[in-house]
Amino acid sequence: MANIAAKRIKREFKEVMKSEEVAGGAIKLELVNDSWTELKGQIAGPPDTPYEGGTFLLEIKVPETYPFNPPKIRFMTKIWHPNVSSVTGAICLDILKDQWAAALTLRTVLLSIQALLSAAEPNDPQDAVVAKQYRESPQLFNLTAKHWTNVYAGGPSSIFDFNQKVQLLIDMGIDEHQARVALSTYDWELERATEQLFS
Amino acid sequence: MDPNKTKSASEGIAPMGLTTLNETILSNQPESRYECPVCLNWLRDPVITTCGHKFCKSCITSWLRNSGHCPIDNINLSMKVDIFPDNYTKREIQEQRMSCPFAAKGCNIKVTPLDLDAHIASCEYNQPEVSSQSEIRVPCSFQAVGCKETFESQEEMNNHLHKDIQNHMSFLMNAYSEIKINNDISNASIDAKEQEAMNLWEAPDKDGAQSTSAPLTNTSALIRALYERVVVLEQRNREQDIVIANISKQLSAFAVAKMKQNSDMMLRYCMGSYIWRIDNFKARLDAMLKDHFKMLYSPGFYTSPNGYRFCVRLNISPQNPLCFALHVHLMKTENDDCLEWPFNGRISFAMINQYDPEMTQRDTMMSNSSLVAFKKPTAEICVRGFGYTEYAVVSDVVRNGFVKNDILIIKVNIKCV
Repeated sequence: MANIAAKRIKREFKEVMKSEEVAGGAIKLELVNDSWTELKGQIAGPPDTPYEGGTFLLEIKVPETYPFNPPKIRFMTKIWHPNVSSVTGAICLDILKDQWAAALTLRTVLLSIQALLSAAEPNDPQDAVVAKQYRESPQLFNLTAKHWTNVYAGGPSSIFDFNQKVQLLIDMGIDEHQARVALSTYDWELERATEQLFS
Repeated sequence: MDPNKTKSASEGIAPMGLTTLNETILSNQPESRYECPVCLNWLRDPVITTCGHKFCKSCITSWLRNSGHCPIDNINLSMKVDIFPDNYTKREIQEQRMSCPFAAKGCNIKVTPLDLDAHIASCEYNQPEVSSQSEIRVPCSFQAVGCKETFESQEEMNNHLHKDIQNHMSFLMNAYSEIKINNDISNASIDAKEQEAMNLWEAPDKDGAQSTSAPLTNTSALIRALYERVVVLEQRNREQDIVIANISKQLSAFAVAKMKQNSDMMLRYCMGSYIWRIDNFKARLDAMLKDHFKMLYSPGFYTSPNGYRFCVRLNISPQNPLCFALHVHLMKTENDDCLEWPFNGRISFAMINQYDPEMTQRDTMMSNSSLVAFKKPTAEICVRGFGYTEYAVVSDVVRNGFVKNDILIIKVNIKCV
């Protein structure tokens, strides 16, 4: 790894560790290997959002050319959000792409991602299905996001109706996550989800 | 080069303490106004942008190579018109003095923040014996070529690598020339070995001349030579296979001839006492009964190695189809001229009863010198025979124990008198 990248990541790591956000439990950063090229981030779901109470893990890969190129970050925890792929966890966030600036750090990036959870950008979606639901049936989106937060990120709100529908599909021999994706995609209409799964 | 040296060098790289945050380096944290937002280090050759941000010259240059904006506020920046040297900050940083982190160990040196990393790397108190109680020291990655520096961390090593390029270059140069010399020497010896090997491996006749005319100079040529050699050997292998096939054919023919010769010997040296085993007797008898002109002849046997040669004929009697006729016939030999003619002697037949030896049928007769049958034969087998036209009744022979295992045995004894 290039000298400047390793050096900077080390300084940033220390910066994050000393930061009040870590002290407050909003973000966390962990090393994955010895070469400082891969880290594991963790952000708390922001309050007053469907993600509240959930803990979201992020995979952070630091390129050789850091900080002249942005780190590659994706969600390892499955999340229902217009700007995050529900399949791959890829994040659509301008500062991770063309708006990256060398003055940004892992701390500011993690805080930006956390902010993204509070304020989605449905007009610049990563997951078109989620974005559509976000725009057209915000209440259902909120419930779905809460449900995913509960199931995958340890959120507190368990939604009985959704759990039941997922269980129904599981009983039909469908994989749990597949069932949840199908139901979430078809606004929790069991028939359409079933139709899609068995077509 | 000493192989052990190389080995220890490669082993030495493994235990680098990368996970340990190096406090020495990180404690050298600049105040934010002297910190470059790109490398997060002390501003080195600081520049200031038109939007009022300071960077190391090299950091902002690298950044603007791919982007046209300030890393902080995204305002458009051009390397040519928006970047100015910030000599004020530069001076301020240079006026700062920082104590060496090894001050506690006795280093009194104070340097500018920019020189601190370099000093730490070369600080005489930053030595193995000082930190021996704490951690494993990492040898310089140029150890293999002779650099003796060791470090507590990757940062230190990086600094050292940066600073001592000149030294490392000369180490490398020395090592290179050493390798080159060794290589030349070993190349020379390899060439000699190849030559020697070629002489040893000289292919038989046809390609030998060609190989020696072009001496091999490198490994690929050696491989080519080996390949050619393999082809030659395979070719020869084929040829040998063919030769072996021919020889084994000859050998089996020889074995057959040998067997025949063996039986010929038996016939020649039986001294007139011949035992005729007629196998497949039933089938032969059937054939003879069907066709009364079919006759069985025994092989010719000699009364002595250079004596008379006789054969025995068994057939259905022309006069009485119920009986066998049994005759002896004189046969031509290469020695007929040396013998006395007509033949004089006693001829005995014995048809062996294989179940009861006492029932064996024995008959003896004397030659009759007036008969053509005992004159010097004119054909391969003398047309006239001598014996019994009604020797035995066919049904008796079959029924009374003369045939066993489908074999009839007739013993003939011919003695010259």
